[in-house]
Amino acid sequence: MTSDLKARILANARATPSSTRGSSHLHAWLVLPSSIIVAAALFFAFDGLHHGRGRTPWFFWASCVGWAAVAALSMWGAFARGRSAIGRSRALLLAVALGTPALLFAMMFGLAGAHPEVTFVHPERIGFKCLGLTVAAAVFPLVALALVRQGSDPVHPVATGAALGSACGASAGVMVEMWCPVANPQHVVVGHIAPIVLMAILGANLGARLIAMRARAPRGS
Amino acid sequence: MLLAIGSLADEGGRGRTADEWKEAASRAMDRYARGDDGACSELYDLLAPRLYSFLVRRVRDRAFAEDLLQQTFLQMHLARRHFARGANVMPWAFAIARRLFIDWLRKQGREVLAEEAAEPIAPDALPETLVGQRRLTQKVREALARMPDAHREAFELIQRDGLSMAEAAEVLGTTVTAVKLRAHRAYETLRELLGDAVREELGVVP
Repeated sequence: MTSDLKARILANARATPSSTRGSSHLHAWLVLPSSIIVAAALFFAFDGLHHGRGRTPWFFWASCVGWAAVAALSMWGAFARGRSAIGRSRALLLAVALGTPALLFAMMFGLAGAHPEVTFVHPERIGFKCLGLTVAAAVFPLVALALVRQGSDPVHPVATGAALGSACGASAGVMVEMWCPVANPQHVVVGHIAPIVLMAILGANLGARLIAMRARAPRGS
Repeated sequence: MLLAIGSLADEGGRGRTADEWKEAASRAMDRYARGDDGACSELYDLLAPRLYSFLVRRVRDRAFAEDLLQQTFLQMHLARRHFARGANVMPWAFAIARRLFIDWLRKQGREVLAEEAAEPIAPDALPETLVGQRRLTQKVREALARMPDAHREAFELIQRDGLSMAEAAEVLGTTVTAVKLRAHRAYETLRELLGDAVREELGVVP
């Protein structure tokens, strides 16, 4: 190595602003309340709890609590990195990206199978409104989290993005689950599961563009 | 080749054991992530020799390797906020260097044909030892070149860069089992291609 390399590297670091861990944590935590505000605004703009009239209370609570638990688990798997600077393994991230919609569909299918009467509510609704609402509520946290993680992943940014997309889709789905009274499997697939898959695809794209670590020419070179 | 690893460990670690060296580097990175800019110099002293060795073996050109090393440190600087408290800096730094090397290779769009930089040798080695060592190095290089990339990478990260199986798995974004399998296959290939004499020289336990 040439003798002035260290001096060049240190000078480069001094000349290039970069934020520290404290500020990054603050930004990550700010995403949570802002996302809740966005989701709540959408929820009340579309008639809030009144829209869900006609469903049984046990189904409301079972689906909302189950959905929230899966979303929390999914977000933990996608965003938390444990004690590794690189994060979860590619296999785990892909499991989160693909497993979240699969698990949620299985849960909804199971609930509807145990009590078929819940599938008789509004069987004519295909689910496009739910799809649109989920995507609208999930885009903000996904983009915000991708920005928090910008330029951070040197190994598997696409898998990280896909997992984050899935987790954000599932989290937005909690609000839609509180809002929507329909539980027939066809509606669940189109309105509640498909947007999670869409968000995973969008997340994979954001992963490749935003989360991936890219070479940048050093200053003065 | 093992001599080269030893000398690099000394250069980077100043007589520390591998674990102490890794801990010192991780602590320095932790301080740097918290905003202690002075830790950057210490981090450079601890990591640069190993990262440079890793890069120069791949790009086979000292000037390009220095450019990539500079970029690696720049990326570590830019991404320091993402360094998790208590994390091990080794796999992270190597993963960044590897990513930049892959991007660089794609930009080049061609195979790098320049000669691999000569590895350091012991100053007091006998002439016949030197000849034997060079011949062996050449044979190992040829054998490594014949291996699939995935096997060679796993082997080199563990054997030449001194990473543990778990660290190599993190760098490659795969599981420890997959790394074990790849490294094992690389050892098997080397054994087949080079024979017993080289295996003894390398100190590889089958």
